[in-house]
Amino acid sequence: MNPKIPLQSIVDDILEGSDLEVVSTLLECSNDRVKIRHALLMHFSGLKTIENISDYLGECFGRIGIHQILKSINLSSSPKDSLDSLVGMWLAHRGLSTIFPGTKPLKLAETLRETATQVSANAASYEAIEVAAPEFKDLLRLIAVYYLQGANLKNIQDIQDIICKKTVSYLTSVIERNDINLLSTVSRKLETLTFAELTGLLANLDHRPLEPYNPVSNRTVCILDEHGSQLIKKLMELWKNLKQGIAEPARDGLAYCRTLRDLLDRWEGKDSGKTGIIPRGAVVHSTTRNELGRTLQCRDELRNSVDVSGVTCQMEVGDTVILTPKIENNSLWGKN
Amino acid sequence: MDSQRILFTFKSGLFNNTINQLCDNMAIVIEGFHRCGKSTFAEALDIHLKDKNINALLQSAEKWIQGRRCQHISQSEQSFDIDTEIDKAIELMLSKKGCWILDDGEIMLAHTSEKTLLRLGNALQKNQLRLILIRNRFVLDDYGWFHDRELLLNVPLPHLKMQPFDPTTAIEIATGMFHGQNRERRGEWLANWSGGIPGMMYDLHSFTPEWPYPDEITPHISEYAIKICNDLELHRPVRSSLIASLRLKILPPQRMLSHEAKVELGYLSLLGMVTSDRSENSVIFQGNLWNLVADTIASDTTQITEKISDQALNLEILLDNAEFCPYLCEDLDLPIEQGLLAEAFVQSIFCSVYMPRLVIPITDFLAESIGRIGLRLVLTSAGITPSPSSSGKELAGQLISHAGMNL
Repeated sequence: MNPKIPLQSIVDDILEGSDLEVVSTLLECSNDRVKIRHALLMHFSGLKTIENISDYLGECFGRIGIHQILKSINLSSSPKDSLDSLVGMWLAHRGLSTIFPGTKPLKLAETLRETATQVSANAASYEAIEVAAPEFKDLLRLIAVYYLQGANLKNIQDIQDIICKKTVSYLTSVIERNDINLLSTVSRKLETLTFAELTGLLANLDHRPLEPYNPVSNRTVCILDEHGSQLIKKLMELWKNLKQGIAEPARDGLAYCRTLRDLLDRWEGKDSGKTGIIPRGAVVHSTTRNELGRTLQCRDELRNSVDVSGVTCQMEVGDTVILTPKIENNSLWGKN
Repeated sequence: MDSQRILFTFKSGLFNNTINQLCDNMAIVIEGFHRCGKSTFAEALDIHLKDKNINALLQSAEKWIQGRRCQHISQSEQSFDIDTEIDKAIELMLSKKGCWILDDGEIMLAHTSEKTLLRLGNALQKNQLRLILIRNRFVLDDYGWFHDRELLLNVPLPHLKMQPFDPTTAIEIATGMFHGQNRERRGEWLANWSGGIPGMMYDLHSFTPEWPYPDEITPHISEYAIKICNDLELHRPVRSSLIASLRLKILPPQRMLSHEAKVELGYLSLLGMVTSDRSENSVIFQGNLWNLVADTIASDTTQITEKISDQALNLEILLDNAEFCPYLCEDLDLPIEQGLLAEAFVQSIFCSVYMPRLVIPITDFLAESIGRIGLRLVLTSAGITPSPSSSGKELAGQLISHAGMNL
């Protein structure tokens, strides 16, 4: 799509719906429609992206100015519309919606605050974190992991502000349940989360390095590797893993079969025979005693089995992974 | 009491409005707040529609969640999917051409996949079923994640808002909850303290003192107010500032509020603590209990100084000279009336000094609402020649300095 044609319509709209004298002063050109038109087009081409143009239009005309322009082209808008949505509406009307989606995506922190507040308000009656937007559960979960991990929370004012204690305690139970259903696909909102936004959001987290290994809550520790590098870096890794479904906070290392199945599919490519290398120290439960400790044909068991026999086996580095539905002290993601 | 409440629900104006709207629309949203009787309303609708031989299906999305919890304990391997519940309901309604009444609608909106919401919207567009979505109000009214989710239904969605019972009805219902010779007095007390909110009548019933009572605010009710403050974490900084500003009637219009304050205000509305109407003579806190809670949180009586008022009036005059006042009033959802804009500026400036987390800086507000072009016009009409390269915020800064403000 050639954005030049819609941009000409945008310029036409400006020429029709605004005070040309002021526009010309702003553009430092003479008050002449042709000159203003030319200057605007030149200015837009200098801005390069539609998003920059959108910002420019917003800054120049403001909500009131854009509302007036929309009125002049018979496009109805509400006085309650935000500046971004007014500009988005305008650009979309002139055919720029395929390039710029119109309304800017809501900021993560703002959406998180909204969702968490909605949840905490409902928690009084529902005790339900589930009301939270599914795509934020991963992030909420991440924060909850830190609560569970015993990180120093004194400085996490912002996050404490967002998530009330009740929500966090509920989150704890969600994490303990290891509910695979809650690990839903990360939405585009989170996909657009930049490093800067994440660091900003997590800036209040305590920078004290966490213990390198804690057998009780091993999952997080595994990811936050020993003598760790910067906290943010670790968080990013955790975040990445959460998004890929590799990491899954679990109660006592208990992992449900779907996580394992996902891991299985990922390990050693598609034709691996579904085996992998188990790290040192992993203690594995098998559903059947006689298959303990060695390669297991487990695909059906992954789907069906629930019962854990209670038989455990200390594995060594290099042992073939036992693909059972439940693994205790699951160190699959580190501690090699 | 339940049957009595259902009876009163039938008599309420909202009930008739809902039925009328249902004639013209395939979907309606009934928006309520905590303890306002949403579920009772849903039951009443269900009874009414079934009496009229309409195939109605009443469901609660909260029950789905509870079901999932139970299922999880007993059948941990089985996945649960709210989409499946919705699909089942749609199928059922399609076969019966019925009306689906869904309580706790916000849970459905939060959990359902976009695909299923679109499918539901599609069925509504094709007139294949009707939907009455009963839900809590969203903390953000006109935008936000929940709002976007609801828009996915893509059908006209009239929103009807649940309100507390009017005073006469509230007293009638409350009196019906007591026996004995002083039941009218006690009913009146309960109606006043609950603010006519049905659920609150239940909650406060046991607190109602015997008539004659020496002091309307009993120790029990004071303790209860403190418990509410703690349970709802009303002492949190933004929340308590918000309550203080509402109590002093100095909270500026929504547009001037920070995002955080908007969310928190939505939270207080969702609790049923505050009404959305914040005009001069309106009630701010619903019922005596919420007023007591507000007094418990904030007892500040800081006054706005005359100096701020004069500067704000100057700013209004400068804007009026460039004919921006009507537009700004519209932008702020204020009646076009002299002095109201100045009042909003006063409130904004006052909050920016004493409760800065509640508001966006006034320069940001002016830059975003009027824009660089508008601000240049205002400055020029005030005899100032601004630099073409100045940003919107810089121009707004120039303007408020010219009005005598030194922020």
